Amino acid sequence: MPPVSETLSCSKCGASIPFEDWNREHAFCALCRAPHSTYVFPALFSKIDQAASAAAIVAEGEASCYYHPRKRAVVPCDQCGRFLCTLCQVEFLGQNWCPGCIDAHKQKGQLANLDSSRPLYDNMALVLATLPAVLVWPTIITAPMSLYVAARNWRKPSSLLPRTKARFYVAVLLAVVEIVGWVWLAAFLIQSLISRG
Amino acid sequence: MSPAQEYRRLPGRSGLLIRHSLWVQSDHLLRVRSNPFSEQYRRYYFADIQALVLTELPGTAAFYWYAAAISLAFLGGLLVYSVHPVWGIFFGLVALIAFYAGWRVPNCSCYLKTSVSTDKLPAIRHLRAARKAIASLIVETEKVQGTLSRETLDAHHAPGSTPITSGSIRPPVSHYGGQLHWILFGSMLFHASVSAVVWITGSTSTPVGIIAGAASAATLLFAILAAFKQHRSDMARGVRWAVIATLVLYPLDTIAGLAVSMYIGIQLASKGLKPGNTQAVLNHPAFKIFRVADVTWFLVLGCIGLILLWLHKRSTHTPPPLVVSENPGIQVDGA
Repeated sequence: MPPVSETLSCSKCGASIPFEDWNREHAFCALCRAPHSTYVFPALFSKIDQAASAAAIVAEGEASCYYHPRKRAVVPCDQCGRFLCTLCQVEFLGQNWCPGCIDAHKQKGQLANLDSSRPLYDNMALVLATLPAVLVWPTIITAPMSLYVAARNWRKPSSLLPRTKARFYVAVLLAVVEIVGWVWLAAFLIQSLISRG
Repeated sequence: MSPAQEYRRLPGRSGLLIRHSLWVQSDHLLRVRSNPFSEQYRRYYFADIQALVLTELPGTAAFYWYAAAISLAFLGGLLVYSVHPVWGIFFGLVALIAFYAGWRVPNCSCYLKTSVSTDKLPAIRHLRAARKAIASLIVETEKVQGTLSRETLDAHHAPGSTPITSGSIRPPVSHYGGQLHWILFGSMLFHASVSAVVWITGSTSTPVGIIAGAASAATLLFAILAAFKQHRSDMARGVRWAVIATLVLYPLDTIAGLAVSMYIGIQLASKGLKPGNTQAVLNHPAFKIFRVADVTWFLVLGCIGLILLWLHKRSTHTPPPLVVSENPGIQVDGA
């Protein structure tokens, strides 16, 4: 077996954690004396084949990779059916994907597992409906904005984490109440002006 | 395409506006950094996780916050008792904030290592939650990778075969004679002596007050310098702890002094006396108790520090090498 070339270090002082302390709870850093627990897994010892290369076509009639015509195909893409060599084959969600399909699905926003960020429109709508209400008068602008944000983004994918639409409902409710309040105030003022005139 | 599974939350969370949390699915860990308007994700597949390191951090900052909270709560109670309810409630609220700040201070740090990255998990800040989260992560990772027995681990580690990499070199531990520590503990004893003289003689002269204040300030200054200097040095653990104890007790002493002064001032004011009446302040029982405690801790810690430093000095002292010359007429360098 190959010797371990990896090192783990104390997150307080940066000193390396001796091998004897691996997979042991409540060891102490030799330098800063901080108690630490280190857990290592078999992946620490697995070698990454950095020089992996697809096999070249050796015999006439062998299928070639769609992206590398000189490389031997080993598997078809489960999405588009293109033949793929070992370089192009991507195992993803339990299927074989080609780079083109992954890219296309990502562009369309169909692969949640590849998203690195998501806007939280429900929070935006809720903030627009609540915070300006402290000063009252800005709600004449922000309440319709809140309704717009809620309506426009109601069906858009929200957080990857479990989340209900409760914030949207509350935002819409508050925005409607604020708009009704402004309408009522405007009607009241117009009414009083007419009655004076 | 398989339907997306729901994420399951792991214990641990940090931040108020910028929040960090950890979630797991069947095949990966999701690190989430969220602000009020968006979330950023980072995935770590269980097949790629090589190690998890959890380090306990000293809870010094939390101790300061709790001490401040207790002092403020005590002060608030005194103010309520002395018919100043508004200020009492104000200090009570500040005490609550200080308590919350102390509770939020992290007491551990965790990082996750893969073959291409080593990332801190900011959501893991408290030991209790950390242990639960890591236990869950270990189970999930071992489901994918299998378990690593001690025998397998030993088999990978051939003694003496570990190549020397930059990461495996321990930072050098430098020798330090402890000059700043001698000055620190000496100034503590000097401060204790001056305070004792002031206390016994009841002196209120300005020069003595200036000397006592200068000794106190010097203690704080040298404690900070000594704490920096002893970092990554071969200084004995006991001496290190004496310096840390000084750094902990000093602000506590200051806060206690402030609280006692305010308490005495309020009491004197309620009796119709001027709070600036020095003799009345010196004769107040609360001030006497505070003075005794002040002198005692400076004296005890200074003595303990000096003794430990002397023991350390004696244990690390190496005699000069014995030079044996065959020809007594030739002078040998260093002899």
